[in-house]
Amino acid sequence: MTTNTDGLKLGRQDYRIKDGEPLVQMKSITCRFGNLIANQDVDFDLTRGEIHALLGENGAGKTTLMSILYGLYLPETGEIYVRGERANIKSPLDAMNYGIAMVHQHFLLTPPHTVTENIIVGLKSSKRIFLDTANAEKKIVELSKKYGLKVDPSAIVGNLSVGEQQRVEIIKALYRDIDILILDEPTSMLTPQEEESLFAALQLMVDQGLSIIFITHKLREVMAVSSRVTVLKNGKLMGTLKTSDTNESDLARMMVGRSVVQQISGQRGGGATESEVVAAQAKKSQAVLEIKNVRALNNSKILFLKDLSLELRKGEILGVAGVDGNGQSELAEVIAGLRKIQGGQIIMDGRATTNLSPREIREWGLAYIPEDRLNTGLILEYTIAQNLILDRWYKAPYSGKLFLNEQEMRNFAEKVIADFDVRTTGLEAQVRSMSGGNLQKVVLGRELSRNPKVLIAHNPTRGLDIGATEYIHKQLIKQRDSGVGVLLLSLDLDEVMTISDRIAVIYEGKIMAVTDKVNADVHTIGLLMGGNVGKSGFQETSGIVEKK
Amino acid sequence: MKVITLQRRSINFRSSIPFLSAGLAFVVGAIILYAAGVDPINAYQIMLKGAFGSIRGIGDTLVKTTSLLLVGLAVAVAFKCRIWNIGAEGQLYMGALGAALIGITAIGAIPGLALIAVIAVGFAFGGSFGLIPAALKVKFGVNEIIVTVLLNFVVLLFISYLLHGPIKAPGFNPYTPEIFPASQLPIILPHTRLHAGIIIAAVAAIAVYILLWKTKIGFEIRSVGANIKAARYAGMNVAKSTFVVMGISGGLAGVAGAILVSGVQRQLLEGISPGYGFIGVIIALLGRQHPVGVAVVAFFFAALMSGSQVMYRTLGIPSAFADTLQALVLIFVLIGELFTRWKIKTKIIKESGSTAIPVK
Amino acid sequence: MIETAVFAMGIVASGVRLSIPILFAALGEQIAERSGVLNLGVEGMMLMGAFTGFIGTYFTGNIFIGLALAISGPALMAALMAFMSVSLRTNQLVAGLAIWLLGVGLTSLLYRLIFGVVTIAPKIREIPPIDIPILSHIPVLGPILFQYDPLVYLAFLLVPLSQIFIFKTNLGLKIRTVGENPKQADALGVDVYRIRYLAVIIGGALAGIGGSYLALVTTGNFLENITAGQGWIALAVVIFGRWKPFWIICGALIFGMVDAFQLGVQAIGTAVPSEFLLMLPYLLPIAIMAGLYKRSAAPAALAISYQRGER
Repeated sequence: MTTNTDGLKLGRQDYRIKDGEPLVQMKSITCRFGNLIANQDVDFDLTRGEIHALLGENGAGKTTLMSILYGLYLPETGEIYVRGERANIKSPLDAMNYGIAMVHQHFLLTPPHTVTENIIVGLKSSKRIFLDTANAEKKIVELSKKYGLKVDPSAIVGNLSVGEQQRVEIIKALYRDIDILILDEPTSMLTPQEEESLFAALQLMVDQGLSIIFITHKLREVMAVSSRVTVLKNGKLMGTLKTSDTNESDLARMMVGRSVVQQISGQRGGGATESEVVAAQAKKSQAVLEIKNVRALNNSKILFLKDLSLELRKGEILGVAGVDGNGQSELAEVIAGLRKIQGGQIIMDGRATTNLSPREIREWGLAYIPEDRLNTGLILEYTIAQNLILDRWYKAPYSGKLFLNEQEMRNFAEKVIADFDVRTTGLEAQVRSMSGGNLQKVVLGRELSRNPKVLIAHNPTRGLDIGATEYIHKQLIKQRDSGVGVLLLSLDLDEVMTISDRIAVIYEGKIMAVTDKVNADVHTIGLLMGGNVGKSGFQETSGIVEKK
Repeated sequence: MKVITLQRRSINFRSSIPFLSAGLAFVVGAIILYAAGVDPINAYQIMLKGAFGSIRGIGDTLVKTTSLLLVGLAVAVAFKCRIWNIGAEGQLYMGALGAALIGITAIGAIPGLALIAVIAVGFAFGGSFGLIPAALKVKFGVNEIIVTVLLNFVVLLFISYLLHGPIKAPGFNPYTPEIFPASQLPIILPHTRLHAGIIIAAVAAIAVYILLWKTKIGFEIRSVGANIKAARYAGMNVAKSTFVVMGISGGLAGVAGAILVSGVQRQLLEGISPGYGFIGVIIALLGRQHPVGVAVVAFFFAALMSGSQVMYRTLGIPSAFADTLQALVLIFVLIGELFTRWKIKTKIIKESGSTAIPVK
Repeated sequence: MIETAVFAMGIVASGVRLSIPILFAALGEQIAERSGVLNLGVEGMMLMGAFTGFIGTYFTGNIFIGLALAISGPALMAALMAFMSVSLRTNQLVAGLAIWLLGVGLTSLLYRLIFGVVTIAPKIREIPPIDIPILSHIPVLGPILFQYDPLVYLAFLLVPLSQIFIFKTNLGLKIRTVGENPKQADALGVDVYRIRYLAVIIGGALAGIGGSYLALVTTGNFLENITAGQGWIALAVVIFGRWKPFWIICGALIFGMVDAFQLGVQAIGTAVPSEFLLMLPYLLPIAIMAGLYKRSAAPAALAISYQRGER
């Protein structure tokens, strides 16, 4: 293998690939994390000069598969071939030696450093121990021109826009003389214009001989940019197609799967008949939570909720479907008062909650089951009783003037354990030792015991087994039946479709559409989740279902 | 998609690690002794006998336990809230100062009142001094570790100044006059130096337990220390916890200082504390910030120190031997603890038959 | 007038010498912290450096062996610190405190064991100042700038050297990236663990030299707790030196000057009690840190353990 000045080995020039033979082949890849199967027997290949899209919902296994190719994870079974040769990729360094680089969805950049410093870290330089900034800058400018990716090598990364930062990330990969580039959800934080520049750049790269793997959940992008597309669902390969042979509709179907279509034609969970449902809906159409034109920033100070409007009614479960990272967390947080809004209004049960503290909002009638129950919802070192009073420790009867009332705490804990069938080794055990399902029951017990008006459940069954999941669903339905407005934010489309009365789709910080369950068509929803706007001819229904 | 959370090993297994680690520390100590030409077995025997072999020895051990228990509690209270108070030594001296001031003035001569005043003023001096780093942290975000450490030096210099001048007893030596008898803690075990301070320390331990585990404010403190994010979401006041904790922490250290003056030395002098404040840090960490753990470790370290004093008298082994052993115990416990956790991780992954661990 | 000038010059010269231990230690700690490891054990490592440096010189009569030991002893402690903080992912604050206390105890213990109780402390011949020809004869400036022992010049040389090392070499960039965004470094093939070990050990070695200065130059013997908190002051200096060598030397010099000033004032005689003057070097960092509040320039990953795959 020859070495170039950057110290990377160039193996590619020693092998002649016959036309049509794959550049990269991944065969029968299986990867597990504990009991979670991230990839199951997946095959994937990349031919030279193509842009190959890797499509799927959350948890489909796209990022895991590519992380394996990039050496961040080791697969349990399966083999990787690069340029016809069996590749043993055990670290990113190995991957780079094979000419593979990856641009992550969440950028790996150092804000206080310059563009050049971010790009060349870890590489050998031509000036022995010293950084060769001058030459590096030259090369960066060359690459920048070659691929139409405008960057200023001496700029401080922290001052750059998201689009500029992404260009830095891409050049960081290209700088290493690679010819296989993996992009993980590259457009998740770009403006439409930046997106266009990116696509143009991708085309230039391909013209120059690069091959690109493009991970995405957005159907439009797949159609616009790729020559082939591989669809993953739940860790399994659904199929690989030429993009020209398919359309958004078919892809959506592959992405979200047929099983859901079967399910919703059956009974609603809770067993109500259609007519009961109609009657119930007609009565309880009063809004208990109004979110009006809300704008909010995410943690990176980018506008993430963009003019989001949504209405939650009493006695319904409103399920919000969407791919992760489209604003669900931010939405939950603004409602709970954990995140400031930059514009718009939130009205809960007639009261504007915009400037209230989380405690005030809680006392006004909000229950919140947070997504990361382990960090925001619970304190792992504490017992069940202690966790149960995290929202009310300052009030009677759980505490007096000075002391906690342990007996009351214990009574409450026993009640919750009984009511919610919580399995625990004992009242004094730290919750740390409990299973996920039981932890969630504790959170549920605490939140529901306040008799809330609004309940936000964010990914409530994530990581739970079937039994616990069913239990949580039953509880949500019970709340709904007693008049609570339940906002279900879930990455599990099956779940949303099964228990919701109405379904909304969130995409890029906006609500795309809202529909009644009966009218809901999983295929259309899949399209909406993928950003397909307007083709579905979707309308908000008013809650009265017309039987056809 | 289902995930199984890793179960930690039972508390019992993890509890045995510290004893193993302590053992290792003694082994290293033995090596050092041997290299210095001392027979380690003989030395350790002398140490053991010194600490427990006589009434006087037991008395000495318990006297030291008093001080160590109080500073251990002081530091533990702060650590429980994740406030790294390394200034217990300085807070101790401030408390000692307060006690001495009472003890040599009129109030100190009133029986009954004097003792109460001595302890209370000791607490007040130490506590208010402890509020300084708290204020700096809350208002200015200044790292409390460096502040508390530096303030130790400031206090020692201040005390030194006072002892060479304003509160010096007549004569050349840098100490205060002896405090009035009414201010002196009575000896409770004849033929020893064990004074009533041990009762105060025991009461303090119980009080700390009640405070942290039974009161509302204690719940807040522990929550802030355990998970500040969840605590904030629950509406808890982090600043308040900081002040309360440092006030109590400094106060307890101050009481330790007051007892040293009132029960042991009967006057204030330089070097009245052989670094108790710093040993308190080790004790708090090893005792896992729980009064029972702190008490056990304090007793163990007290035995170490009083036995070490006997070792010095008979074999000439310096008292720094005890300091070194204490630090070694901490280090070995830290190392041992994490090895246990490590084994758990790799073991469970192997059991599920997967190699999908992040590449090392 | 001339007397004040002479007095001032003396203070400056003295101040430079007093700043050296802190300077070495702070420069070293800055490298460790830039890789993301907060080493609270600096004080212990400085003590160990003073001790091993003294022992080496005392028993072999050879200053170079002394310096070699002054580096190796603390470097071993630093390796232990790195082992606990990086490999075992112990809480770095706790690990550092343990190392500090070990340093204090061990140096006291070993010194006493070796020398026993002596009335006259064992002494070595201090490293003499070197007389730089010609330059040291310049009136006024000569004695101030050009009559120091070699370690002073080494320390001063280290300032631009470490500046170049941190900002202009490949290794320096790796260290900085590991301290800011270890995931990025890892994804680009940098061995995060190895870099951190290296940075911490370099820090320990420099702290050791700094400590040894006290024994080998300033006093000529070893005393228990000879560092008297200078390791902690060094930690503060790194913070308000904003992790940059040129600011760090300013910070160290300020301390040296304040220390020299208060010593000089004591020598002259003043109404202010000496103890209060001695407090100045300890109160100053507190005041400065309070003044600098909310403008932290710390490496983003400082004191956070790293493991690949953790989210």
